[in-house]
This record gives sequence, structure tokens and C-alpha cells, in this order.
Amino acid sequence: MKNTSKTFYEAGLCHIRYSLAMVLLGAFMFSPHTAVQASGEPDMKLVANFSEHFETFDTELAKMCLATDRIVKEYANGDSIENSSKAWVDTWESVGVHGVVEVKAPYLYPPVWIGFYGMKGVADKKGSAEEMYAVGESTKAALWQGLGGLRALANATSIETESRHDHEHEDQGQDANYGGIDPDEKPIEAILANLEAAVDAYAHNDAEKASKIVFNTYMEIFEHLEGDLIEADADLVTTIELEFNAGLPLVFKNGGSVADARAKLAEMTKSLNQAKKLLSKIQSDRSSVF
Amino acid sequence: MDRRAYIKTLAAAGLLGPNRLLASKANSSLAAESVENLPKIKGAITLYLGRGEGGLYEDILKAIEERNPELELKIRRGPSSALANTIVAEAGAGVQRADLFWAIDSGSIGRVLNDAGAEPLPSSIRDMLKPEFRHEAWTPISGRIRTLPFNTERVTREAIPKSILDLPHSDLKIGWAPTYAAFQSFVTAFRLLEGEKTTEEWLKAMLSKARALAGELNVVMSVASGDLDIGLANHYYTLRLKKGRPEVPLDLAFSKNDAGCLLNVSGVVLLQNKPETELFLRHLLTIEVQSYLAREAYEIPLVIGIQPPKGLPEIAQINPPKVDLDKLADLKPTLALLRKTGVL
Repeated sequence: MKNTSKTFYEAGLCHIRYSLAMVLLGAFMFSPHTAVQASGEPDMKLVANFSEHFETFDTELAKMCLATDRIVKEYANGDSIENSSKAWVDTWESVGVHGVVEVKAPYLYPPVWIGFYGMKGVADKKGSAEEMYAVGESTKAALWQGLGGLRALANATSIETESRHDHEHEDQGQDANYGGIDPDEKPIEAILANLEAAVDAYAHNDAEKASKIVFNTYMEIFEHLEGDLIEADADLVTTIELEFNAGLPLVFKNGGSVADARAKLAEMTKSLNQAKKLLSKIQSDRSSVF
Repeated sequence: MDRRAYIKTLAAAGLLGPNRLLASKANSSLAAESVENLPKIKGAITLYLGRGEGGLYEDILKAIEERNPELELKIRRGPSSALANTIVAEAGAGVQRADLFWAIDSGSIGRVLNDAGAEPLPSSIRDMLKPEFRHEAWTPISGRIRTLPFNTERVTREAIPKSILDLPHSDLKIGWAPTYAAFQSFVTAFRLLEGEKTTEEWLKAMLSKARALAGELNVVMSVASGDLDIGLANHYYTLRLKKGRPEVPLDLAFSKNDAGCLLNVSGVVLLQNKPETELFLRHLLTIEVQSYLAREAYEIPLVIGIQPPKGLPEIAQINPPKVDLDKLADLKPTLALLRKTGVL
């Protein structure tokens, strides 16, 4: 998966023949800081449940293809592509599939932008309509490639054949939101929702996914909370660490029953709710910054 | 060549570490400033914020926003490494959405400097940092250090080896937590400083000697209870445990000038140099914010004149090794070595 994506990325770079200087010039001429600048974070609820939304993504991709075709057509007619380019960016920034590709298939994300700026590059250097058509087709291919990557991911395909070593390394960089609750807003609730998702995955015979969810939840959410908790109740932190590392994962590894997994989850819920109360008190007692 | 490209070139040439480009400028220093003396921030800033330290970073950002009502702060949150990948992807496509990137580990910072580029830091910011922490293209915000927590009833400070290399050859009961990210950064620094062969031999020697535990808090707790004599852990576990339980027989020792006392940092990369981003960085380096990080998070302040957290000596007394922190991102060879030796 990774190699294929990279090949595509490199192929995209070769296919779109313009200099980096031209890209940057095009980028600045197009004022990306107003059009593209952080218009919104990925919808993490959508990211968490992306496999249920392919019908919507298909519709969104069709819209993106129309937006791409509009640029190509206007250029062929000798018209300015300023408005249609702005519309392309606005559409891409607004569709849900954008954030899902960005988070779930990051190697397939840059080729979409490269395709778009390729079209800008053709216009800036006053290239032919044929060149614009070719780059437009590449852009559409990059869009569909992104969706294809998501489908492959949903089907748990080639990525799963990579070594566990690589998984562990990459997993540490993934955003641990599997239950649809923002860990920055409600960390304990997000942990509990993730653990529910892990047990659900186990109940559906996917022990590997279940273990991965527990591991990522520990690394990306709980580890950042434990500092405050140590002062208040170090034994509780040790208990929760053991539950994360030797509780649920061992049930999954040893092929325990779903009832065993739910029992472990109930124990963790009790500990985590206790942690939530402590964190609330710590936050209210904290000194001010200024 | 524009300034961003210039920074990338320097990064590729390995010239962005401290005490290199800036060695000649180390004598010009600025005292830490109070937020009371700063002008108000006006304008929009997009910050990519690596998740860490519970809500403390959030508290700081909220406090800055409250003091600066004309600041429009957009925050995108996520794991530091994921955000670094996003910035690199965006840069590759000629898009720039972030003005600043605040990462909890220097490895993610290195990834952005190497593959996306950054703006040079104004000297008004660099010169507030202790000379060894002045970088051309990013500013450290606070640090954490590797330590050797020991049980004061079972071992004397004098009996603890001064070199991490000697630890497996002592008769001490040792604990470590090899699955921890901080431990793996330590082994990466070990490789960079001592080479692959020495690191492999050390890991093998330690494997027959050390007890592996689930986390570094477990290591510190086992030392405090007397199950172990000594452990390997970041400094704040011991300081926090001592705060909650001052009676435990626990203290911190440090090896000398090796990976055993590696100082790692969180820091901010300047992606867009404009008045509001520069002023925002100055807020993060104020006496108030640096003191808050030391007081509430037990992090080590890196600006001149701010005291370290209670219970920790001044960094200058510890003598941590000089490691190119940008290179700590290279975890794959470390993980391979840990697996080869059977540590993981």
C-alpha cells in the first residue's frame, strides 16, 4: 500500500511537469492563505466511522470532478480560471472525504493538491489546452486514488500485511479517535468510547484491530493525562496502566470470551471514572497562567 | 533561494543544531520578559498543536487568548508526528495552512525542518533562550531529562555509576520500561552517541539484568517501594510522586554527559514570520508561562533566569550530552535494534 502510494505520488510529480518555483509562484498568486488556510479540522467523527460513508464520498468526488472539468473547460475556451479555481478549493475544503483522506490515507493526500496546482501551473505558463486536460485528468485520478485508498483501508487489506513493527511505529502518530468523541474536549469519555469500540471489534472477531485501538488510546490519550494523576493517586495510575497493558490486551491475545472482555472493560470504566473525578478537582485547583 | 528553502538546506546539511551557526552570537542574551511588558497580539494565527501534558498547553493558549482579545487563534490538534506529516504533505503541494507548529518532541520538529522548511527565528526570541538551546529555525519551549531514580534506603548516591555504560555491570537491581516512547528516544540518542555496536552490547547486558515494567511510573513506584534499587525514567515521574508522597525514600541521580541524562524538548517551528507569530512566541517564553510549565507540569524552563522545577538541579550542573535533537525522529533503526536484542 505504502509503496504503491508513493509510486503514485512520484508518478504525479513526473506527470505534472512544472518547476517548484512555478508552483510556489502559482500558490502565492492564488492567495492560498485565504482560500486554503485552516478552514476546518477533519471531522474526527466522520474519520472514525469513514467506512460507513462511501456513498457520500462518491457523491463528493463526483462534485470534485465537475469542479475540475470546469477549470479545464474554461481554460480551453480562453476564459479566466480564477473563479473556477477558487470554487475548486472551496469545494475541496468543504467535503468530508477531504479530511478522511488526509488522516486515513496521508500518502494519497498530496497528489490531489499537486494536481490542482498543476492546473494553476499550466495556466501560469500559458500551456496548451491539451496540457490542461492531461493535468485535469491526473487531478481526478488522484481524487479517485484517495477514495480507493480508503476503500482498501476499510477492507483491511495490504496495510495489514506490513510487519507489526511498522504498525507500532506508525500507530503512535495516529489520532486515537475510534469512538467519535474528541479526546481534546473530553479525554476520559473518549477513552471509554474507544475501549467500547475495541471490545466491539473483538466481538466481531477482529482481535488485531481491538488491540490496536487499546494501544493507540493509551499512547495518544491516557499517557498525556497521567502526569496530573500521579500526584493525586499514583496507585490508581498504576492500576490503569496495568489494565491498558495487561488487562484487555491479554484477553484479546489469549482468545478470551467476549464476556471476559466486557468484564475487563467494566473494571477499567470504574478506574477511569475515578480518574475523571480527580482530574476535575486538579483542574479546579490549578494556579492561573498569568 | 528564499529563506524557507535556505532553512531546508541547512537542515539537510545538519547545520541547525545549537552551538553551530549561533556559536558566535551566544554572548548576546536577553533577560526573560514579563507578559505585562508585551504589546497585545492583533491578527490571526493558525497553530498546529501536538497533543501533550494533559490540558496544560490548552490552559496556556486560553490564557493568551484572554489577554489578547484581538487575537484570532485557530488551533488544529493531533499527535505531533501526524501533524508533522500533514505539514510536510501540505508543503509538498505548495499549500501552507499553519503559521506555527508546537510539537511535544524534537523528532517531529526535525521532520518538518528537513522536509517542509521554516522561517528563521528573530534574534529577539533566540536570545532569550539559554545559549545551548538557541536554534536557527525553531524555539524550544520546555524540556524533560532522563534520570536514574534510586531508593535512598537501599543505595547511596555514590554507589551509582556515573556512566550509563557501567550500569549493567553494577550489582544494583534495575528497572526499565522499553515500550515507552521516552525510553526509545533515549536508545536513539545512545545509538547516535555511542554507535550501533556499543548500544547493542549494552542492551544485551541490560536485558539479563533489568526488570521490564509496563511504564516509567511503574519503574519509579517499584524503586520507591524497594522492589528495585534504581530505574531509568524521565524526571517528572519522580518529582510528581514525591509531591504526592513526600515520605517515599526516592531521589534522582544523573549519569554524566551521556544518553542517560538526555534532555529532550518540546518546541515551536515558525512557519510564517509575521508580527503576530513573533509576539505569540514571546508570550510562550515569558516569565509567567515558563514558570507555569515548571510549576504545574514539572517541565524544565529553557529561558534565561527561570528556575527549574523544585527537586531538580540546574541543567548546567547535570551536563547532558550534546545530541542533534532533530535526529531523534529516526526511530526505525532503534526499534530494529530493540527487537534484534530481544528487548522488545
